[in-house]
Amino acid sequence: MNDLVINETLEELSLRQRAVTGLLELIAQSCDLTPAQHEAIRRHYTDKIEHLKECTWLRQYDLSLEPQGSVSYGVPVRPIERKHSEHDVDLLLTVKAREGEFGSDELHREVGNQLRSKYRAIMSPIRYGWQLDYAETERFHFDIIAAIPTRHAGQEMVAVTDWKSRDWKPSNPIGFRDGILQAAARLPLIDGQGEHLLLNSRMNTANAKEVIVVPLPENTPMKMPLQRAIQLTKRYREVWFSRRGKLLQKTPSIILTTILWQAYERFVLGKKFSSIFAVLETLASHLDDTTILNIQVDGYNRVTYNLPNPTVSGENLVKRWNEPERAKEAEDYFMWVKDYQAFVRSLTRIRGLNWLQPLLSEALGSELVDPVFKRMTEAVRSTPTRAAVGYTPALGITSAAAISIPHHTYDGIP
Amino acid sequence: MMTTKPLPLVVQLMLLRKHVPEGRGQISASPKGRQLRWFQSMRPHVLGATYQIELQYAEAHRPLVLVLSPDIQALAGDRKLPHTFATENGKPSLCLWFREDWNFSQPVVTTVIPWAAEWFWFFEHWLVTGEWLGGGRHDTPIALPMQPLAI
Repeated sequence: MNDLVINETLEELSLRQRAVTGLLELIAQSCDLTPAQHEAIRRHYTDKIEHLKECTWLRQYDLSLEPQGSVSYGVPVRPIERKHSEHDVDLLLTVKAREGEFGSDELHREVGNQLRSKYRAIMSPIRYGWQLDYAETERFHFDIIAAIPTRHAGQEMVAVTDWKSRDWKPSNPIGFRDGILQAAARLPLIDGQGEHLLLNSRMNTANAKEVIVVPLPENTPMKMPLQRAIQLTKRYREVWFSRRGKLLQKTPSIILTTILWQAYERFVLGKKFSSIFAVLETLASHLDDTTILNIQVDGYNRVTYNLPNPTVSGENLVKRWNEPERAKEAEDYFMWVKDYQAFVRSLTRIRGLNWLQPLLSEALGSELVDPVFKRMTEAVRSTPTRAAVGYTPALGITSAAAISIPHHTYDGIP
Repeated sequence: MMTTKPLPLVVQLMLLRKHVPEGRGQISASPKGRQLRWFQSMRPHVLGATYQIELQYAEAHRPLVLVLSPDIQALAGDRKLPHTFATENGKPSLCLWFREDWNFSQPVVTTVIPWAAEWFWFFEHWLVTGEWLGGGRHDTPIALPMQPLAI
C-alpha cells in the first residue's frame, strides 16, 4: 500500500525533490572511494611506476602511468557479488615508442615480466593488460593497460595491447576521461532557488570552526549531477542484472556512461530545470534515445545498433549487440532501461520513509541504502545533531525549522 | 511534584491554532471534565507519510495523542507497536515522554506535537528494520492511565 502524493503544492514538491536528490547523493557517496583508499591507490601507483622504470627493456622509453576509467572521472561503484566488493582502478601505462618498434605481444610480455618480479602473488593476466589484486587488504584492484601513442583517423590517441587478438587496439581512455570531466564541470540552470541557497550556505559555513552537519537529505546538495547520475545508473545496473542471475551479461559501463554523457551535453547543458532531480529524470529518460543510441531496422527486420564512441572515430560501442548470439544483451538493456526509468519516476511519488527505503534498497542494494536511512534517523535523536533540527507542521522534522524540539524520553505512564 | 501554574486549555488551543492553522479543535465538557480535542495531520519529514492525529487533553490529565489514520497497527502487521498505549476505542495512543519531560505549564504545540512527529519518523524506520532508534524506557504496549495526574 503505497501512500502516493496526489495534492501537493509546488513548494512541497520542490522540497521533496530536493530531499530525494539529497538521499541519492548520500547513497552515491557510499560508492565513492574512501580517503584511505585514495591514499593507498596513490602510494601503490607511485610504487608501480618506479618499479616499471627499473626494467631494462622498458627503460629505453619514456613511460607515463595515469589513471583512466571510472575512478579517474569520479564515478566508481561498489560492484556486488565480489568477495571483497572491490573497486576497479584502471591505469594506462603509455610507453613512448614509435609504432612498429615492437609488437603488442612483446609489450604485454615485458610489462608482465617486470610486474611479476615483485607482484607475482597478486597478479593475473586480463585481456588488455595485467591485474594486481589488493582486494583483500584494501578493497581495490589495479588493471594496468599498456599502450603506445598512435594516430587514428587524424586523432592523437593510444594503441593498447590486446592479449586476445595479439594485436594493437586503438583507444582513447584519456580523451574519454577528460571529456566526461569537462562536461560534468558544467552545470545546467536550476530554477529552484532553494537548491542554490543551500549550496551557498554550505560554502559559507565551510570555513567555520565548528559546523554541525546534520545528515538530512535536504541538507545535502548534489554538486555534480552527471557524475552522480552515472554512478547511480551503474549501481542500479549491477543490482538489476545480479537479481536476474545475469551479472556476466550486464550492460558494460562504457555504454551507460557514453549515453548519459551525450544526453547531458545535448539535453541538459544550456537548459533550465526546476530542480536537480528533474535533471536526473531527464538523463534517465534519454537512456533509450535513438538519436544517441541509433537503431536501424532493415527490410528483413534485422536490427542494427550503433553507439559511436565520441573519442574514437568509427568505433561502435554496441557492435557486439549486432552479433545474432548477443542480440539478447540489447533486449536486456532495453528492459533494464524501462525498469530504471520507472524507478526514477517513482522516487518523488512515494510518501513514507517506510516505503521509500525498501524501494531504494531493492533498486540499489540494502548495504548502501540502509546505513543512510539509519544515520538520518539517528541524527534526529543524537547529540549534538539534535540541536540543529526542529519541527514545522508543514514539513515535519528538518533543519532550520521554526520549533525546536525539547528533550524527552519515550515512555508510558510515570 | 509539579508546582508550576498550568497553562489554561484555552491558551493551549490558541497556540495550537497559531502554529498549525490547518488543524481544528475545540474545548468541551467530557466525563473527565473540560477537555481540549484537537485534530491535525502531520508528517515526520518531507519524505514521510501523512498521519491524522487527535490530541485529547482533559484538565489535570495527561494529554493523549491518538493516531486516527492510517491504521498503524495494520502497517505493523502482527508486531507489537513500540511506545504506545492501548486505548478503549482501539486507536493507539503514543507514549511520548517520561515524568518531568513535560508539565502542565508547557504548550503542547511546542512539545507533544513535535514529539509525535519524531515518533512517526522512528516508527517508519522501525517498520522497515524492526529497530526503534528513538530510545525510551519500554518497548511494549502498556495500559492507558485513567486517573487524573497530580499537578
